[in-house]
Amino acid sequence: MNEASDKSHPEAVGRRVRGKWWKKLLLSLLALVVALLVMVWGTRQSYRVPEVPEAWELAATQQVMNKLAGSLLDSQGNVAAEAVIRLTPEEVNALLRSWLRTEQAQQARDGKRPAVAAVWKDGALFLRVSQPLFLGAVNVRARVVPGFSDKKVALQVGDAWVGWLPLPSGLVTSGANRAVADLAKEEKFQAGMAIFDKISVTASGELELRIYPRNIGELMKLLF
Amino acid sequence: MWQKTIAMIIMAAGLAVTAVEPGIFDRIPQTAAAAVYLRTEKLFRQPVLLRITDSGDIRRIRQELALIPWGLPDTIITIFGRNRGYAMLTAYPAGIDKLEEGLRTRYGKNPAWEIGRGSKNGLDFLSLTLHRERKRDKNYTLVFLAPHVVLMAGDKSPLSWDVLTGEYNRALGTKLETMAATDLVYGYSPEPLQSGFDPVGMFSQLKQCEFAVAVPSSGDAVVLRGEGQCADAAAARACRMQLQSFRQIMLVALFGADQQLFRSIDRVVTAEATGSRIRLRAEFPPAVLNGIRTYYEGKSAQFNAVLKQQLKP
Repeated sequence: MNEASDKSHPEAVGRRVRGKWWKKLLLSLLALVVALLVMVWGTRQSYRVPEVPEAWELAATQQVMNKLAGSLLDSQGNVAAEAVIRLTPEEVNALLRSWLRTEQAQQARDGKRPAVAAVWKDGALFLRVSQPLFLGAVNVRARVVPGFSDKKVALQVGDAWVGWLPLPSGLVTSGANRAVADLAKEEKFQAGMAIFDKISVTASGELELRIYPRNIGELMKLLF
Repeated sequence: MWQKTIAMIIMAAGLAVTAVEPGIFDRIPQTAAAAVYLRTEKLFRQPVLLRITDSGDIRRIRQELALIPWGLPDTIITIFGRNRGYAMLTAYPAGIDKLEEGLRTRYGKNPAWEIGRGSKNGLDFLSLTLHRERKRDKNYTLVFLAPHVVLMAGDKSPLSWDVLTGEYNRALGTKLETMAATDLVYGYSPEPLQSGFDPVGMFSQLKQCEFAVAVPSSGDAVVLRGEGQCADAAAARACRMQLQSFRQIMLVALFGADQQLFRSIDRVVTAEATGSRIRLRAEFPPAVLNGIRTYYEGKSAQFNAVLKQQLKP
């Protein structure tokens, strides 16, 4: 009998063991990829807000406008150099819904954008994003505390998940801030941010906006 | 015999009516939630407005509109809803062939522009695409709703073809047609909350509204007036409060950097509620108009520079 074909020969045993080791590694990697896919891949979410604003939203939006208008002038009737507005969770949610409605309309038009849900609760923004992928979707959820000072946006992201997979908050926070820094190069973003001196969350969970009333004309740029 | 004569007169009148080609007032699509009529030529010829806008913008618009050989036609801006966008409706007596020829003469030599022609839902249209480097293309569609009525929509004012059902809102057309002779701009919305005028629902109490811009016979002032109908007096009072807030925000946004001008404009804009109706009125005298002109001519570049400076890292 040939030595190489003898299954009990030490070389043949070594080859078999090496072969099993690679197979095991490949199978483990494959299992890991499948497990990751199973954990990451989910069903598509639509996250729709009603097309017509509800009564509470209209009332809250009107309150925001009244707060803004009331803060713009000083006691002499001149345009104030600086003003502070505090928005209640309901008011923040009304503004968020207005933004989501616009996103929803864009999504209906081009069909490519992810579905987004956003709710302000307990002093933080709870975001849900569903990006369609093949027959399912990649669903992301995160808790974001927004901040803005010294002309820079600083987000604190926590409790972030992709499907069933938790993400390290430090990594997500730095990624989100890098993305915002890129966005901040855009003229429209700069125009929007020129209004603010500081954005922070109060202990009672309200969103505090310290604004420059003389710069609110920059908002007009966002319309064109 | 007299019955036959009457019948013939009625038939002849009917034929005469059907022979009249539909104009822009007959071609406001049924789904329009609001419309604004611009007496364009008259508006652009107003010395008082020309003085404000003679910093170049008006001239540029006129150059673009050189496609229109007989001057600037009256235009209706039709607004289809909060997510639908708007479209310009204009009379173009020269017809689609002449417009295509004009577009090809003006833009055809530039390879970045692509001009197409087609027909959809029984309507002829021209399409214009501007290909841009590292940016999304700009698209415009010019649809002939009648042989001499063009509807124009672009990317910023997306209009889907399902709006063009072939049914038209004659009541809205009649409303615009009967605007006062002195008005240069007149807008009407039978459902403001649906129109997209008010995307955040600031004036949700309004059931219908209209506004107009006029230059009185003296020719040196501009008058803006608006009127709205609410369900009852309480709704009108709430709406007036919103109008005051909106007025404040807009005036600060537009003129807030010049305290004196802001105060002088603030004085001429008034809002009041009477019963279930609310009224807005603003009369800009020559001194204020000159102030606005000086403000925009002299300050816009400076403001942009200040903004950029402020945002420097």
